[in-house]
Amino acid sequence: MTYRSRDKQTTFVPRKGCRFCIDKDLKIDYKDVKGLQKFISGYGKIESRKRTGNCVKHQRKVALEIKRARIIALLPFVNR
Amino acid sequence: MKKYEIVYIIHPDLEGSTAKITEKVKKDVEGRKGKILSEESWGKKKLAYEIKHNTYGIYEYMVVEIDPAAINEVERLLRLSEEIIRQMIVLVVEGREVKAETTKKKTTMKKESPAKKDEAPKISQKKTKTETAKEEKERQKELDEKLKEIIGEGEGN
Repeated sequence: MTYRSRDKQTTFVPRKGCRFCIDKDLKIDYKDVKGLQKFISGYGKIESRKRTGNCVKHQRKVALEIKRARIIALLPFVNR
Repeated sequence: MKKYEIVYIIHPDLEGSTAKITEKVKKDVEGRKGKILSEESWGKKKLAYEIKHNTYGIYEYMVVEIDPAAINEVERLLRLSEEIIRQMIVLVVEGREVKAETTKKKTTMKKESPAKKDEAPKISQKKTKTETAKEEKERQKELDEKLKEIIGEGEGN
């Protein structure tokens, strides 16, 4: 994720594709906390598709699994 | 019959009697024609947020095959018991389960046979190294001969 400058229009350099589509062995699971932590911000919010680079299908899955991890207190709802 | 994953968190003060509680849950499942496919205890973990003023919890996990009507009853019992501070039941989607199993197998394979795998490529590498060395020698010989020929021709002219 690289942004060139803040005051000018931020230019977003996209990755080549969804990482879950490229590597099909990568699984999305609520038990895998470290894996899911890549997709939450410092405040514990779910990162947008623009930032994660996931395709629609896998972003939906990531969001679902993060919500499941939140229920059993593996991930926070908010990080203050 | 459907497959479900059950995760529940036991109160941190009841660390000594987790076995009893898991037994109770197992009986609840088996008493309703459920099958326990696998179980795992994740141990005492720090919670991402406080649950009933607890910062720690003892995690228990199991995969279960049971009727959808009976799983509701199990969930109700989990919710009612005071030893368990949080529970979650997730339906396992079949396509997903197959994927999870294969990945598990892969990881176990990696764990089981690193030595064997290491040995095999080393031997092959050695072979290739020797082969390449031989090939290089041959090439050099050929090159030397050609050079000699060329030099000889040059001298002749």
